[in-house]
Amino acid sequence: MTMLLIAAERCTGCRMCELACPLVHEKAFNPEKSRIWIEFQGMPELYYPNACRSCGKPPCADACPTTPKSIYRDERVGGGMKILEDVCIRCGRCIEACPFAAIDWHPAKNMPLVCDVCDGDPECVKYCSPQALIVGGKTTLAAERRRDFGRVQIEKVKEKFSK
Amino acid sequence: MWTYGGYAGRILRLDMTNWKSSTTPLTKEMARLFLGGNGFGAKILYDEVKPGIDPLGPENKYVFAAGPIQGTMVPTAGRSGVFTKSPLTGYFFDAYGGGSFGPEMKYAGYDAIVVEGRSEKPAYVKVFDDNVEFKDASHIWGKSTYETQEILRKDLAEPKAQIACIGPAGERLVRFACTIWGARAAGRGGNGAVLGSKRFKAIVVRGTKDVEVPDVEEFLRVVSDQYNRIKANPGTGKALPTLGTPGVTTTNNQLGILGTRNWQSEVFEEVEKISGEAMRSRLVVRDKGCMACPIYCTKLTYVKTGPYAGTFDEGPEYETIFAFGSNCGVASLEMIARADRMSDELGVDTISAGAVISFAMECYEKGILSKQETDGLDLRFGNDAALIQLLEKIGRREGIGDLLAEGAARAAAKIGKGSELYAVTIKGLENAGHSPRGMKGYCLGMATGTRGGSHQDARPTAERIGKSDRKILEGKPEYAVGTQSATTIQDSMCVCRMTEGIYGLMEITNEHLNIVNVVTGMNLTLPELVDISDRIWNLERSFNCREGHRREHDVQAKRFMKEPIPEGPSKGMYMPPEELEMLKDKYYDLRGWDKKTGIPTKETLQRLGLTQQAKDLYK
Amino acid sequence: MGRVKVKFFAHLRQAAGTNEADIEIREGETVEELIKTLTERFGAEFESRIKDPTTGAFAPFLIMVGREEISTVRGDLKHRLSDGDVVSLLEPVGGG
Repeated sequence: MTMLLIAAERCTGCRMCELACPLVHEKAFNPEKSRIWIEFQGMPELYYPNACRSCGKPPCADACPTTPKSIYRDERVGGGMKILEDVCIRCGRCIEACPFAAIDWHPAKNMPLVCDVCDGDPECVKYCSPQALIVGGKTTLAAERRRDFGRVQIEKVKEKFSK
Repeated sequence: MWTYGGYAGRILRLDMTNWKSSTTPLTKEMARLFLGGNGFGAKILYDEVKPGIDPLGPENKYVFAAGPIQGTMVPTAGRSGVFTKSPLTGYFFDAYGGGSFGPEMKYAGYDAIVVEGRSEKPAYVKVFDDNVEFKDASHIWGKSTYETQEILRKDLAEPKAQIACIGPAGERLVRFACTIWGARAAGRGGNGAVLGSKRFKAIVVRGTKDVEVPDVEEFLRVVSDQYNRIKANPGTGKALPTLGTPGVTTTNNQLGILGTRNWQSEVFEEVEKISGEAMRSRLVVRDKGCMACPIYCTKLTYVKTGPYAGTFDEGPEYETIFAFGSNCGVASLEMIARADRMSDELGVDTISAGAVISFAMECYEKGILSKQETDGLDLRFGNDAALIQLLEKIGRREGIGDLLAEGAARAAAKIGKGSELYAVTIKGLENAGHSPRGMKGYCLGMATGTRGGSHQDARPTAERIGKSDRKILEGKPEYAVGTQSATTIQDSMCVCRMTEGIYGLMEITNEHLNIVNVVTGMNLTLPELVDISDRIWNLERSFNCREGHRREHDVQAKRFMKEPIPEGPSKGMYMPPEELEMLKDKYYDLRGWDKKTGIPTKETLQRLGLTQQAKDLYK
Repeated sequence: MGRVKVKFFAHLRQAAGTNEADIEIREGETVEELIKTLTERFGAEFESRIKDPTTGAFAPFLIMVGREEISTVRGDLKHRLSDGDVVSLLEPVGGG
């Protein structure tokens, strides 16, 4: 399984992912062409990272009206979505269908823009300093989040006997 | 890609008088000779700002500038600078901030934006790629920097826009008002007052263009190597991510070099209450990184209980903890967080604001300012409630705040009665929170620096970690030159100071060179990069000398040349004037400056290609 | 035989789980040996905060023995400790 997984509570909002992604896909720095995003809101700004969840039963593909489906899960690497550029009718139904708002639109190609896990070796993960981005299967994410949760609980116990 | 990688290739000009914009191409020569950021700021200001003009008049200019790395994923590329003639010092001044503003400017297609003239009514400027519009700002004039950003983002329906703006302090020409983008400040030197004088409330930038580098593979090889070293380094990989800059508070106190009660002491007995460790356990709710930064030294804090409950702040940083904490005798991190947030919203520099307050507190305790003169505020050291009230008055120029808004040096000149000793400033700029008395090389580097009381020209770090013995004079002229050279290149690239341990603390290194070359493809040599740094430093110096700066102005704050540190591990240390003068002789020699006048020699200027400057200074 | 008091600062406190510790020393023990004892006692996380794990090199920082300042990059790590010394490990950081 090579999914891109996000432990959102670790994210520091540095946007390194928004830079690495277009660099490997488009050979240029431009967050407009990124397939992963950090949403900022409020003052001081808070942030939330977002990207394709590599759904096992992807609603975007279900919603795609073409035959064959022009958006499909890349089963060779077990994660990420691929686009059949010459089949896609550019209707944007996949954007509507994604429950995580994790599909964008390529401003130059006029085509859905979605994470393809760099064909199995996602570049953004290598530059995620707080390790909010993880590669693996859903069990990997579960284990990482459980570790964070456990650490917090153990800290609470420690605090009790330090006082 | 433009001639070189990294650059956008254009400079935008905003004529505030006529609400007209224009663009000029960046020349290949300018990129090669001045690199970016600091270099571009110095070049534009020297060429375009006539000597003797009022910094708060329409003839002054204000420059936003990025370096070649902004917009790329070189670590800490979120940073960018602003440049103007300072209303505090009257000299060239550069200030920098993180966040995402600089990169967005590059995506919009500009390496620099020059603000000129003066608008008749309050205005803001909207820059969306090539589309530039001037707009009426009357609905946001008077609003805080946070409100301003929220309103403009909503009005323009552009949540991703980056907005640089001023607050009420900039509008009221507080001489240490700053520029704010996000919750980051280009803090020092009063650049916010310059924008205020131009009635320039804000600039909203949104860009959708590419920033390119010549060889993506090679770029990733060099950058991933540096990234991995940043992560493995205990300073950048552990210390700063854990505690941020406040981590240094207890270290400085342990060395006896933490400015306390307006530098009357350098040991703060309640330091544990304002430490980075205390902040982490009591207030920190989240770590935050500026754009492209793996170090995430920013700490988001929230105050849950007590009189400052409800304060949500980005920071405070070490400098702010020093300025409002130990140096004002206040042991409440909660108040420091509130004062930090207030300063950001008013748009004032926390270092100078803290320093004028500690100055006023000492005047008050010594009987120079009466309670009547302080509008009834009991300005004893440690009175946190009075500090908060005074900060608000300064930001709005109300009552005694109007006098203090002029900065400590001007306020002391007006108050007299020996208060000049308590104005801890260099060249009119309030001293930052590192000890010139306790670190000899940093002390000399500040005195000879372009900005004066700044910790960003010469650096304290190498002395604080013992790479250079902080207590001895030997080697300190070289230390001052070396650290100043490194910061000049860092500020021109522009990378953040947090990486200085990676790039090299005391000189320009191959690390600087490799990053510059892999981004730009200029294929510079190390001596060429050193020349760029020297050229920029001498250009700044020429700007200042053209304004009348001479050797006698390269001095430390009076207190540091007169009073030894009275207690603690650094007891007895100070910088007697005769020692400083001796160090300056050697420093000028190393710099190629005239020892009598402090002006760069004709030969030095000509060697660096600064022929116009040679003509101007040797008429 | 003797004892020294070790004081930790900044993020070293978090890794050590304490602000200070009493450590037993051998006759003529050096600062370098004391650091080794500390890293053994407080573990890998502590060690990664004073040494670069990829190179094994010390981060540059000051160790105070009483009022004497010993730098990890320039100072005398063979400095011998005496019974009753107070040793402070300051923050290894560039920037600020």
